[in-house]
Order: sequence, then C-alpha cells, then structure tokens
Amino acid sequence: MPKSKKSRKQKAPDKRTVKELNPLRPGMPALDSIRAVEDFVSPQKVHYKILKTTETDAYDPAPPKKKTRLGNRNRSH
Amino acid sequence: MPDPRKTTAMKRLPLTGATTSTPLAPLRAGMPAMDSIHATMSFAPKSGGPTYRIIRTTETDAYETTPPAVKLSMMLRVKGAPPTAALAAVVKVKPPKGDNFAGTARKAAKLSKASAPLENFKDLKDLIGSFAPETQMIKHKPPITTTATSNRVKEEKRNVRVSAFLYAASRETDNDFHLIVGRAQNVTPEMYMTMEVSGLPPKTDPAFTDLNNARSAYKKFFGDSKLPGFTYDFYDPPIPIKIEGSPFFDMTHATGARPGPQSLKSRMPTIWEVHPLTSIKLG
Repeated sequence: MPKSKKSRKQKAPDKRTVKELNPLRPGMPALDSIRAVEDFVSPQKVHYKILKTTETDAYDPAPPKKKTRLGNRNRSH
Repeated sequence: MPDPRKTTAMKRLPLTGATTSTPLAPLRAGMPAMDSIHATMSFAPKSGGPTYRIIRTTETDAYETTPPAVKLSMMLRVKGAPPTAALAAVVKVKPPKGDNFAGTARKAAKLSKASAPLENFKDLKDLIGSFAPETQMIKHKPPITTTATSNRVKEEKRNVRVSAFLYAASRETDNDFHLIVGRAQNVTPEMYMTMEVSGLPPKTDPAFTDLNNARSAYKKFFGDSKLPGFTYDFYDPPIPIKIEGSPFFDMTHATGARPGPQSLKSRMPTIWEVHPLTSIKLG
C-alpha cells in the first residue's frame, strides 16, 4: 500500500488569530516565534490556545538539514 | 517567605562562570537572560553623576547573518560552557568603521526628518498607541517598498518627542545604533520599542545636521570604549533618555524575524521605530 502523500505540515497561524493574541500579556512568546496556533479544550472543558513556537533551549543542536527523498527512503527507523 | 528577588540575585555569570562585583537582579524588568551575559562593567558618564552597569550579552537580532553573529550563534549551541577564549574573541570583533549610513533598505525614509510639528508624549505607551496598525501599513496604498528610494508615507510624516529609558543597544553593520527604549521599570505593562541613532547621510543632505548632532551626543555620552558592538549591551539601571525623531515603519521586517534582543522581544509589540533620532539627551 503506497503511503499517503498528504502533507503533514501544520497550518500557518491565521492572521486574525495572531491579531487576537495579546503580545503584552506576561509570559507570551515573541510574536515572530509563533508558527501555529491551535485551540485546545481541557478535560475540565476550559478553552486554551496552544501557541506553537520556534523557540528551543539555546543549547539544543540545530536541526539536521533536510535529507533528499532518496536519503529519507534509505533511512532506517 | 523569602523574597525571590533576593534569593535569585546572582554574582556568578552562568555563561562563563566568571563573577561580578555586585549581584545582578534577574527579576528586574528589562534584564537580559542570565545565560546571555558574558561581561559586566561599571560606567559613570559624568563625574559625580549616577553610575550604571553595562551588561554585555550574546544577544543579537535574530535575522543577523554577519560572520561574527553566525559564529557566535553556533558557538552557543553546545551543552556546557562555550570555550572562553573563543567567545571573548568573537564578541570583541571590531565594529564597522565610520559614521556614514551603509544600508539601502528604505534609505530615503530612514535618512530624512519629517516636515511636521513636534508631538509630545509623556509615556511610551501612548506613542506606541499612536502608530497606525501594522496590518494597515503592510497593505498600504500606495505600497511601501523596501528599495533605497522608498520615502516617507503619510503615516510616517510626523515628529515625536518622548521621555523614557534606554534598556539596551547594539550597533548594526549599516552603522545604525539600535536603541531599545522602554517605560520606567516599575510601570506595567512592560513595553519596549526600537529607536535608531542613524548612520549619517552626505554632508549636503538637509537632515545631516540634526542626525549628526544626535549621533555625536550619543557617542559622547558613552565614549568609544563603552559603545555597543554587534551584540546587545543592557544597562542597569536603565538610563533616562529624552528623544526627538520621526516615526518609521520597518517594512523590511514586517514578515519573518523582527528586531530586538531575545530577552525583550516578547514585550516589543510593534515594528514601528523612531528612525532617525534627531535629538537625544541621556542621563
């Protein structure tokens, strides 16, 4: 069965959603680090927004460069 | 309960293991992340006047691609302490020589003073609130381009004056100094924005005198040895500052990484700048 070629990329944050964020609320990330915004309802039915960012621990190594299709196919898991 | 401001004060710099003579207060508004500090030094601009501490950090604008910035970024992506000598060498890279503006993006707007009456602001918050919304500027009609000939648009044809505090500064490769200016440290919400001591236009330019006066005042206050380099210097306590200048929309950074040091960027709600500064009084 061939694997689905559907993109698994996350959607970029909607401009309206970003506009609704309050950048000055204590504890917010820098606006230019936000790559996606997702709605989340907790088991207690409280609504939250999950702000997915590009921020990492400073000592984390840079992610490896994207491999070619051939490279990916040969990679063992 | 013990006061966390007291229990978290630190003399040891986590990045290098070196110690400072007086403790740093990581919880003071506008401080850099402790692990970004590579050196501190005392600074007394006027004899008998207040003494400040210059906190030298490894923070740069995220979009910096100059060789020293890239080298520094790679050097810090390690677990454990980066090599002390190599770190010292990279942060001591000599800044570009000269005072002339060396950039191109929106050069015409950046090097011009608007022809407009001076508007007074007592609080930086009110100045930031007076800027046209970013979405409006991004979709501006006519469009704002980033070419060298891109001149001031209607919303940028203003002159403003505000009293605030200088929290951090760095020097860019185009010879501009980026000043990160914020409200008083005990005022909430925290808020900062970029203001720029511009590189100079040709002497024949109508704005030359004002820009040169502002740049000379800034350089005189710090003296050559205390001017910032390509990484951000922070000031402790923040230095009182009174500025005049023309608002400028930083179209170049409307998409992607925005200007500012990592430690303060989350409280920089705008890419509007005051650029160029036409008058500056420090201390």
